[in-house]
Amino acid sequence: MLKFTLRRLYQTIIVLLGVTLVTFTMVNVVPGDPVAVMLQKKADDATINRIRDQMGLNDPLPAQYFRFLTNAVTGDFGNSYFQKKPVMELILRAFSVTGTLAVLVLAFAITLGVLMGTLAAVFRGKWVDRVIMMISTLGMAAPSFWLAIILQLIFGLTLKWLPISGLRQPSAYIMPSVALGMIYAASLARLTRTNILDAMNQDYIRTARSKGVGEFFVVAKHAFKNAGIPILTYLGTLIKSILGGSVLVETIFSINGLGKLLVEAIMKRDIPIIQGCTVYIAAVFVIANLLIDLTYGLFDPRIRVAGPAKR
Amino acid sequence: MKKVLALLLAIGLMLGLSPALAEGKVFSFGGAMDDMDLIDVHKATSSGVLQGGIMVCEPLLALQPDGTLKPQLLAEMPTVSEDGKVFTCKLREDVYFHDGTQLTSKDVYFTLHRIFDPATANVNAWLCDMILGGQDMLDGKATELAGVTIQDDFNFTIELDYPYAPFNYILSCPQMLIYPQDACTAAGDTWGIDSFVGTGPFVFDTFVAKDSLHLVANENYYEGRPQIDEVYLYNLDRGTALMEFEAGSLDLVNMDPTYVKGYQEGEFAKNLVMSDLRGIIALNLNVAMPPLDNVKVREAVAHAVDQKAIVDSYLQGNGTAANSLITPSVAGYTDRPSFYNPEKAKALLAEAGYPDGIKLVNYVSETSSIAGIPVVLQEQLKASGIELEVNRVDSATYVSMRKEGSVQCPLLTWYADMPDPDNFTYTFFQSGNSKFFSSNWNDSLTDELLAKGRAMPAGEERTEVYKQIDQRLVAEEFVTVPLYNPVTYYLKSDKVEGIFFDGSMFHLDDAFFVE
Repeated sequence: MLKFTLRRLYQTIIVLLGVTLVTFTMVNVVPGDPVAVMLQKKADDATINRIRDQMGLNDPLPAQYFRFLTNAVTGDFGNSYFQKKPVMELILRAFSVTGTLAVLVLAFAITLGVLMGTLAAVFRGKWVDRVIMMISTLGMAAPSFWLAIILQLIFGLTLKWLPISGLRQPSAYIMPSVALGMIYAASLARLTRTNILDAMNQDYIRTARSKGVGEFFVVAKHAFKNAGIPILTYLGTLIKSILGGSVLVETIFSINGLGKLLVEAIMKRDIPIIQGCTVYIAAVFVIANLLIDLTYGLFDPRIRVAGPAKR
Repeated sequence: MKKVLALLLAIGLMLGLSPALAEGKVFSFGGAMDDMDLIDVHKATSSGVLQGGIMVCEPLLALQPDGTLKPQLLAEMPTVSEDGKVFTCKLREDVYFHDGTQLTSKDVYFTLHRIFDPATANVNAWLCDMILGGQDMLDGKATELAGVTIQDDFNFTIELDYPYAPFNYILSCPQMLIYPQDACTAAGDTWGIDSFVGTGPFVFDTFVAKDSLHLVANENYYEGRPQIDEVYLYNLDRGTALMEFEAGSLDLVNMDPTYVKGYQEGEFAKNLVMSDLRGIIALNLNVAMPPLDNVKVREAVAHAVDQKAIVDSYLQGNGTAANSLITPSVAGYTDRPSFYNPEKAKALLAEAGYPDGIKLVNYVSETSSIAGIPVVLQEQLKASGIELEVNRVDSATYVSMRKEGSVQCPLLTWYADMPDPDNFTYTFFQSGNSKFFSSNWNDSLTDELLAKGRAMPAGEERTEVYKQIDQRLVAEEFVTVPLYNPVTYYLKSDKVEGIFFDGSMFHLDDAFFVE
């Protein structure tokens, strides 16, 4: 296990290096000069060059990349061209928002999705199953930005139960979490239902029932545990998506999360933020994958993480 | 049971489900201000930044609702030397910054010096680069600003490189707010982010980039404490901001004209306010890119555009059709009828050697509020045999292409910094500036007239010069096709009165809540 973990960490470093190189090349190849964006109203070539000099943008590209890399090792991604603050500070601030939201979205999606899926499986073919499946189809079809506006109109504007925008009080997290989490809850419900139904047809379930185990424990202990692996894989994908931020929902609720930070940086060519965010998102993906691989063993002891087969 | 109820109540309160009880006179202002990265007016050009800045800091002169100027931090209007180059100024002696230090001439020198100091990387220095020695500082040839001389704590002079008649207007611009030397120096890189001190009616409290700015009333304001206790400025999605207004959470919302129709009738129609934006939207024709290097072709384009149709159909009446580069409220404006005549446009193209029509390429920023205009033009130009290819690109790409002078017919979007014709003409069509806006118009006669207009005092003679410039650009050389003068809309709560919108910024100095 230790060997596997070390190998994956080594791979992680290679992946991150590759990501920084590709990102750096991309932002320098595509048209768009951050200085021209800054000086939107008026600037001559001399002014643009002067400011590019001050920002180090006129240095040779390899020198710029090497400078970025040596600073990034120490966690210093430089300062934002526009916000004039250290990129790391901006990412951490955005992450605190996106991270909190991700936890709530996960909690909402898992609670609702697993509960609905399990109920649908237990009551297969009955009206409960049909209603849940209909709701989950709607949940999967409804785009999160549309749901966000509908929630704002109903619970914010009409009923005035929840704040329409911002995250200035705890209740403000409810609508963004639901808007973002609904599609995941719906997918999770369908996935849970399918996997529990598969598990319920297995021999060990029949054995458990014949031994007199109650239906609740049959589902909760035997069926659910075995249906957990695909759900866990899906959760891994879900975590990665949520931690990347959602620019549309963040914009609608005026939340300054990672999605909005990155997209606005791309629009303005705020290169330090683009590079910092890309490294962060790549790191989240790689680490999340690693954690999921390590967690499989907990659900199914037959799965062992091993190195390449020896000849 | 009681415990359960108490617990539920506590949870409800914690979640904020109970209606908020606003104490004091708290004014909330929201709108799309995505560029509100910081509130240092030397480092940004966006209206969100300037709006935040002008509530805390003040310029030497101030624009009044009737368009005239009044002394703000100055005790009286500057006296101007006979050659029009030296402005002698006297500061008020009763003005203190929010940290308790008195405003003196050294703060004015510090601010102007900071504007030109290369270390500041000021993005608005062009606005006042006529101050003697300013350009030398920008170029790294000088470390001191030669044009500002301090006589004593309250008297100083500003000398210009050349006579510049509208310089007083420059002194009233939000980019020229006066900073306190001590506080600004001490704050260093955190100025305008964690710290911001001024002389204005409101005191900086907290700022969260791209999110909100919180200000409190300046108890010791020299013109009397404002009647509003606190101000919140929120950066919100356009649609969300309107929803917040309808819910009663905001007192003022800056709105996009595309939302106006839904508010012209109904519950909030009485809250809808329209205001002139003191701007111009035009189609620049790049004289360096064939076939627009041919004046006949440019004339044909001018005859193919129906400004009235743009305003009536696309803008649904929210704007005024224009055929002058200078806006009607500014000296130099010419009330010229539209050239629109598709048949004449075709004849002109044939005369220019293009009987089968021409093809032009337009680029527009996809995030621009007027990104739909080129599509309207596409339809109009087609009727005159002009094919317009429209390309939407991201804003960074667009600005970079435009500054290279390589956009064939870019839209010119201008909301003036001041009500002076120089700001509508020199900025875009002087030889040194024309490439940045992709017109590439390098014309000695235009340059000569622009220089003449800059140096002349306000009056009929100066107005005539700007009419000549407008005539040359719009009706003789057809370098630009004016489209319309934009208007803006905002929603204002019934609870607040006394807000002054100067064409670009909201002023809350005299705002008050109706009892």
